[in-house]
Amino acid sequence: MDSQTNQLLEKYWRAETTPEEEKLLKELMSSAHDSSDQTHYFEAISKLKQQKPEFAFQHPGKQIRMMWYTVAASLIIGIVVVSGLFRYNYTQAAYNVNDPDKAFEITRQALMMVSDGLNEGKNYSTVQLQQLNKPKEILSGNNNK
Amino acid sequence: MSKELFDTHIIPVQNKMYRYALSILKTPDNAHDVVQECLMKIWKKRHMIATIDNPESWAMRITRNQCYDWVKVNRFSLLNVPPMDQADTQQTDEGLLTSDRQRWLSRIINELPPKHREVFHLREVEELSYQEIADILSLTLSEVKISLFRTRVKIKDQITKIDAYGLAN
Repeated sequence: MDSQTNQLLEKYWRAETTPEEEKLLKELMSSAHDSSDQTHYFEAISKLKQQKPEFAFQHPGKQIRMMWYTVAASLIIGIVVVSGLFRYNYTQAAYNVNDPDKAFEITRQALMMVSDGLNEGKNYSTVQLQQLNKPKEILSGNNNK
Repeated sequence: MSKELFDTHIIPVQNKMYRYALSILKTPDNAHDVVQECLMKIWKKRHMIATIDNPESWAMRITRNQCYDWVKVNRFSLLNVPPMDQADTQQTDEGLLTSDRQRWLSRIINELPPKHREVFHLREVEELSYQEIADILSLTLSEVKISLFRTRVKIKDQITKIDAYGLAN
């Protein structure tokens, strides 16, 4: 070790060095190719300086923005679910009839609607059957001639 | 405007904040969580950065306070923390020797009183001035100088003992 390094080392251990002198001393010690305990001490300090977090820190601005996106998404999902439930309950409530007379009337109307439909079908099928009989009538008419 | 100040003054210091938190809390995960909380805290106060003389010292002081708040809340979980090992994984003779020195230095630092340990870290690792250290730790300039002097004397004594008797594990 040269005299400048030794002088700085003495000052360093007396805690009389300036930050600039300490920086210079650390550079001198890192370039000194000896295996003295003092060199290892400065080497150990430089290793402490190299510590870094395993994962990068998230920028707080981005973190807050992400938080707002999450809140907005949760709110939209909540509104959709609540409005769906409300709509379902509203539709269900329309079919609930507590008055027996009114219920009877509704049932009667529904049955009448079914009955009308069945009658219409019956008339329609009769017409169709008559049309199916037409060829038979034509053929029998030809034979009579 | 305040976002730019945050990005230019605080973001470059975040690794320093992490190392400082790690020197107090000893576990990387806890140090990471605490620094992330500090960044959020500083972000909320970012309008103040323009009025602060030394934003770096301010950020470090917030980190320190946040660490001690964390310690207060989680003091029982700290009882199970294994000693921090800075060991080099290189299995060469030189590598093993270096890892021994690392362990030795970690042990000496951990044996120091908390305030001396912090002064040592801020000066030796983060290379801050006496005034900055005094501001962060709320100490006088002479208290910082005395603390650093005592720590260095202790380390020098240990080095002299190693020179004489070798490194005892």
